[in-house]
Amino acid sequence: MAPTPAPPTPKPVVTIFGTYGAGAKQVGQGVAHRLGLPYFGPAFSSEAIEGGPEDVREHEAEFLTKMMAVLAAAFGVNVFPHDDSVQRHKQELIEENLRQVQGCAHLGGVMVGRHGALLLADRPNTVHVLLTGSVEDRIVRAATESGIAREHAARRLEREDHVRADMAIALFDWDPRTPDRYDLVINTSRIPLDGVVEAILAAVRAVAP
Amino acid sequence: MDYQDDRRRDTYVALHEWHTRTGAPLDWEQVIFPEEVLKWASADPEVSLLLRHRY
Repeated sequence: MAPTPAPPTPKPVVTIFGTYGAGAKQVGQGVAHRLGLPYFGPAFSSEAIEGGPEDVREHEAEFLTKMMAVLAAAFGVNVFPHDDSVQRHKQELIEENLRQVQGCAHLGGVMVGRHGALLLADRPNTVHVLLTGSVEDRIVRAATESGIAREHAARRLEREDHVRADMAIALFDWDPRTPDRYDLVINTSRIPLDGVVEAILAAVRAVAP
Repeated sequence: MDYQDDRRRDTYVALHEWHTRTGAPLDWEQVIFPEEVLKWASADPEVSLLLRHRY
């Protein structure tokens, strides 16, 4: 009897959760380019909302509105007290997120956000990365990249990390800022971004079957 | 999650109510900079009541 062929090796996936201004976009795009694989940006971003196609903006607006109902419920306020809309919204958001993550897992690539470290925890050929850095450095980087004033970036930083974490906790009961699900936790105040890219590529090679 | 953070709780509730009542789409900047929506919420008697009494 002929031996059963081994299942094909899945393409590499790198998941990145970055605190605001830690460089997730540049690092993610850099790693994706070097791997020759797609880059999947965060599920929503200021840049996409401000300049993206109309249907993308509408999708993100719908996502955010449902997310606000779920977050309000997590804080004890049911904005739909007479039906189960909040539960339905939560289920829809979870299913949509899973679809996006499964799409990335199928194609291989670099994915920022979307709770990838949690949802792809057991996927082979996968590296999970948390990027952080000093508050001051993150503010400066975000202001420079986004072309906004330092004060604007500082105010974004103050809330954005909390809000993104609140979303993960409300949907998946998981705080993405805790390091235990990551293979690499990198301080981009200490390691230049091109060095971060190299470190992630080394980790990808190390986990390759 | 710090469930005692009243500002975050009020922001999430107010943003949802603002969208529901005005029909205008939410965007990420409003979540990060909710001042105008919170001002609107405090001026709307029904939303103010919601923020005060639903928890």
